[in-house]
Formats: sequence, structure tokens, C-alpha cells
Amino acid sequence: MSKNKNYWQANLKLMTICLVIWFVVSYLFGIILVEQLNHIRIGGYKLGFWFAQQGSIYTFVALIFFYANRMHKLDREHGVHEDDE
Amino acid sequence: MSLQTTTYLIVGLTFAIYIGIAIWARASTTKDFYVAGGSVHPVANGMATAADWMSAASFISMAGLIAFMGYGGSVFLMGWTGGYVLLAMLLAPYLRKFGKFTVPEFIGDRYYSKAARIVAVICLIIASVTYVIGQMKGIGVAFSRFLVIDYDVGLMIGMASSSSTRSSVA
Repeated sequence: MSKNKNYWQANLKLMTICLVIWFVVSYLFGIILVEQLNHIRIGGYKLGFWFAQQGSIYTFVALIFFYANRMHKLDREHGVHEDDE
Repeated sequence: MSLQTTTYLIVGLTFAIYIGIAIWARASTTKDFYVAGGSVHPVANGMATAADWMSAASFISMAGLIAFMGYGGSVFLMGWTGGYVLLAMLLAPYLRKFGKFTVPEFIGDRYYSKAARIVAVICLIIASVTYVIGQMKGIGVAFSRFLVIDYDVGLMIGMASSSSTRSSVA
């Protein structure tokens, strides 16, 4: 039972980290702080605008891969993986 | 051969192949329909999801929205892909382990509540209607342009082709 609990705790921790990053790049950088970030320019583009249009999406894709990868490892550590390779 | 004939030939051939596959690989049960008997390789499955993402709605409607609205359009952009993150973390793994196929079914069973299930259905309908409007508009515009026909006829052709392929997703 505690083994399951450990697994779930690790799962929740990973999920929280990912969702915080998800929130920061989209809502915080892309919407709430966009005006402040727009004062910074990188390669001629306003940083806030860049986050709203591209930066957040790059981060999202990276997040999904990161989550899948870590979850795969976690499943193996706790012996709940489904594939037998 | 004129450009027009070539276009008709290629479109006709593509449709014939789609319809052929649809008849050949008809899914007989709900389980077959959703998971293709579990025989789809993860990479192929991912490609199918990616194809869904890169649909007419993203290519045409989304590009148009952003060109038209500027910064204001970025909320659609962030929601589009940001939703995949939520889906991948909060729903997909559990849906799979639960053995259910649709999100409302899963939510209703998970929370032992008909009300939750209805809320899920309403959200689903709002989201998919919004999506389908963008999608259909895109399909209509694309077909009317390259077959040189009316927008309405183009839309009909697009719908016919997509419903025949949808029935063969499995």
C-alpha cells in the first residue's frame, strides 16, 4: 500500500512541476507579464509576444516529452510498466 | 493534360483510395474503432494525433486568425497546444488505465456522478463545435480554390471525404 502511495506522490510531484512551468510560460509570460516582457527585445522580437506565439508552444512540446520520459522511468522503478521490453 | 484535369484526377484518386481503405478496414466494434484492436504502433498513433493537430483548422483558420487579430490571436495558439499538455498529464494516462474510451464516460465513472458526466459532455460539444466550424470553413475554402467550384460545393465534397475517412480511422 505504501508502495502505491510513493508512486502516486512521485507522480503528483512530477505533474505539479510540469503544470507550474505550463502556467508560467503561457499565462504569466504570454498574457499577464506580456507588457513588461515586451520591453525586452531578442533578435528584434518583443519577448512577451514571442512567448505568446512561439515560446510557450516550444515549451509545451518539450514538457510533453519530458513528462512521458519521466513517467516511463517512474513506472519502471515501481514495477507498474505495461510493456515487457 | 491541363492543370484542371490533373487536379481532378489526383483528388479523385485520393478519394478512391480513402473510400477503398474505409470499406476494407471497417471497424466492427467500439473497441476496434478507438484503439484499432491495440495493433497501432505508438509512433503511428502519435503521427495520427499530429495529423489531427495539423488540420485545416490550424493551417488555414488559425493562421488567418493570427494574421487578422495579431497578439489577441495568441490565446488560441496557446490553448491549442497547451491543451495537449493537460490532456497528456491529467487525462490520457488514466483514461487508458481505466479502460474507457471517451472522456465523459471516464469522468462520470471516476466521480460517480451523472452531473459531472453531463458537464463533460457540454464542454466537449462546445469545444468540438468551435473546432469543427474552423475545420469546415478551412476545408470549404481549400476545396473551392483548387477544384475551382463554389464554396458550398467544396464544403460538401470535403465533408463527404472526411466522413468516409473518419469511418476508417481504425
